Amino acid sequence: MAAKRAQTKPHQASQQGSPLSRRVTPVILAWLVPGAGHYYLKRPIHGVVLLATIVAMFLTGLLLQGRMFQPSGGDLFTILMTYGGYVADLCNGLLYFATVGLGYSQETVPGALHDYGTKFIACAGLLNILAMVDAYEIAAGKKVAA
Amino acid sequence: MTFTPSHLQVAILFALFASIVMGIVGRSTDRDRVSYGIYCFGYFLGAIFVLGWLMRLGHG
Repeated sequence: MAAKRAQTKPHQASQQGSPLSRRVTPVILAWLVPGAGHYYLKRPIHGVVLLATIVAMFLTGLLLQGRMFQPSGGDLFTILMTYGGYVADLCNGLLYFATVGLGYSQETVPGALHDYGTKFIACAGLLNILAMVDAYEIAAGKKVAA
Repeated sequence: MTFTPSHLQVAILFALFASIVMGIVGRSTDRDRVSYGIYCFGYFLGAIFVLGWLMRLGHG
């Protein structure tokens, strides 16, 4: 019995509930807190590294006085850029909501560095999408545990 | 707090962050993750170097 328990793969310990919830829960956790999905799936080191990297990228963007995208109309390029950027910003999860809620969201400031900051914040969200997809693949058993 | 890195420093920082995440999600074993992360970082640096010189030469 003990030997059988020891043979259980680490990520199987979190596989409780319906198949859908087993797959969706780590994705939602990964969205809210970068790396939390991996932590939930018993991959704490990967989770911590993802958390540190994505948070560092987000904070670098804030330090560069990057701004959050706001959806706005206009020509096609403006719509694509603002809506795409807004979705990317939203993918930072609680980091985004905390920043906006606490009033750290910047106004548009001219200058290259601020533009880099804006891109860093959006790219942190895009990297978190990669982490969310990875968490989903691990939960769905599409990725071999290592 | 003032944080005013150069364009090159920002690009290297971006390459570092992106390479770490791509390394973790891109491969299945830890050894492959490290290799792939270093591989991505190297390619990022190469692209920064080549594109930087192209812009420098193209700009005159």
